[in-house]
Amino acid sequence: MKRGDIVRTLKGFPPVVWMLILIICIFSFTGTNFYSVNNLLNIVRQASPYLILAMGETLAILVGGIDLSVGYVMGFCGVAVAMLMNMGLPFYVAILIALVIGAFCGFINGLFVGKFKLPYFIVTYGTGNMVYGLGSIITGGVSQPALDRGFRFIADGTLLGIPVVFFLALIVFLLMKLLIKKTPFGRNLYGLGGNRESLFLSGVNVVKAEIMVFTVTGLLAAIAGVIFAARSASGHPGFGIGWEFDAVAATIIGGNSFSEGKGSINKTVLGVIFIQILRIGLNISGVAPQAQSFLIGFIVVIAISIDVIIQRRK
Amino acid sequence: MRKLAIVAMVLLLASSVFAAGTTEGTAAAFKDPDAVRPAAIETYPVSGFAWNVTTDVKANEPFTIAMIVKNNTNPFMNGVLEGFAKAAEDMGFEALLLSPATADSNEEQARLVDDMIVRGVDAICIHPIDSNGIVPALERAYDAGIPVLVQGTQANTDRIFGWYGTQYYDQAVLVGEYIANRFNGEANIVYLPGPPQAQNSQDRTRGFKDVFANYPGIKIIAEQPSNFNRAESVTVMENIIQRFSEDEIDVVIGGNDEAAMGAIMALQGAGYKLGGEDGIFVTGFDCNEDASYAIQNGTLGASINPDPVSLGYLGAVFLVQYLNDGTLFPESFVPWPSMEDMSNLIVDSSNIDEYIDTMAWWKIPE
Repeated sequence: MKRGDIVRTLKGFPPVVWMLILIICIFSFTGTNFYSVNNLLNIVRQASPYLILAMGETLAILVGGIDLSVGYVMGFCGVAVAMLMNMGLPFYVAILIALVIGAFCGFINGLFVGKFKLPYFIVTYGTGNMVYGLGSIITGGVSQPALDRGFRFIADGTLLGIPVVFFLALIVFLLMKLLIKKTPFGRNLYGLGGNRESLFLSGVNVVKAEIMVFTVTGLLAAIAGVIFAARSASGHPGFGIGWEFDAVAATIIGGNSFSEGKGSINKTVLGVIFIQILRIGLNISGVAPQAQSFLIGFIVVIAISIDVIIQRRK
Repeated sequence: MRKLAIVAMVLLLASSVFAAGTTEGTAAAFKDPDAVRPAAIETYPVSGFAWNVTTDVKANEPFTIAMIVKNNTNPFMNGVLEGFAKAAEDMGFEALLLSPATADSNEEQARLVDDMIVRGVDAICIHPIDSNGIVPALERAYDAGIPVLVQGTQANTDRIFGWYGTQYYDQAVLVGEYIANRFNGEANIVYLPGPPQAQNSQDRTRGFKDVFANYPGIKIIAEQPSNFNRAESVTVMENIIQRFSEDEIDVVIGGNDEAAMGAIMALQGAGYKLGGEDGIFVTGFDCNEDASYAIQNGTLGASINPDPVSLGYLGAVFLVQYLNDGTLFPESFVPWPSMEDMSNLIVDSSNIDEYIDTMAWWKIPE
């Protein structure tokens, strides 16, 4: 490889990679046990469900929309899986039903934004609050224990020393890749975000395509919700609140664009890893919580600004 | 097929061996099943309240101990952190003061515990957001040999170092009995609880209902959440005022001081008489700054002093004692502030001046 090639490759890296290298350098000085097997496993455990959730959000953002219901849907599916198991269903059946519920929530979102052309913000925020309210009603606001051993294996278990959740995230990632690269779903996804008119003229049912996208987003939120429920051995409608922000942040920090139908779930992976390492690094460095809220918000804005500036130069 | 099954089994075995190897199994005294733990606390290792709290205990080594609370938006939680920081200074250990960036997020709180296990802290004190949701994280800390002292809200596991503090249920029982006594078992009550999904609010509601069940003359005539929020409480109370006249309401119970203060504003706006012999009696929880002065000027009837500063301080002392010489924690819940000493808990017109002078946890010394 010539010198020019190396420079070009380096320049081709998205800004998030440089930010990542920077924070890892800082945390190697400030964070106790930052370089340890346990921390690596810890990062993997925490990042995996988060990645699944964020990939779903990325889909919604790629079609030029946003899904603010994912956190609530996540919480509700966690409640569903816990309650269904407490009713005596085996854990895999309970999980399956919870996934269907999540996908259905996404379907409703898709129906309202796709067919009735209502604003993404309003619809997804509305459905999110609806499932949250529903969850609060059926649980009475009390967390539902989910103590099934098999179920908890999802969060606690390891295969070859690697957490099971890592394999789950990997499988979901590969399936998503397959879906986007090898099926019309991917072409429709980018078409919806880029140029709906031409997608329509090429004979694609645009409404159906958008419903599909949001259904998958809901399904991924449900998978994340099931993993979160296994992690906390319980389900509570409020457990997912605030995660929609993290999902959007990871998507945008990774370098995906809000408006142009450009981007990929690969970038979201980088965004998730960045935020995850940032949070864990701040925690094990003993940074005060008040300062953490500020720093995370600040770094998110800086990271997005750098990305936008570079995009404009190009 | 058979080969595949054998390979799978070997892999599973290998993975379980590997997994066992990665957890640091240190022999911690608090995990010893044969160790005899005291039945109850005999003497507290601290004296004084709020910012006057002191201890004779010193840390033998510069231990690292984490205090994880529920949020950094509630003055109570910040008081706990301040008390813990004071303890670190007095006793000589390193305190890590943490709370979820998203207020009251169970998942983030569990992550904080995981991150502290990675950091290899000597001990953790935690105020759980949810009794069920925090359990796996606490059990992971247990497996890693880290003693976890649970404060306030119970964690539904016995794989911890101990449990102490004020129970929200007991606080409500105390206030409930106080109201029942004051009104001789005859009162119409408006209750403004916190968020329905918040466990501390559920616990308080349970406490009130259990007490009032014993008094047929006490009726809750209206119950509507105002989410521990002053502004929301004003609106909720204004709506309730539309339905009830001044004479129909005897007592308004705020889910916390903020809710009580909001109710007072609404009642004043409607011209309803507050305090005195025949006015409406409003109660809250936490004895924060505004509430204390409201008790002094007679608009707020009573509040509970949870003393978060000495609460955080005491947790640190218990953990340092254990790290110093292996002092084990009692099996049962250790109450603080002590339930027997009622004068320290309920603050009303009779002891408000003394409270502000000597015990107010919100008065940060310079």
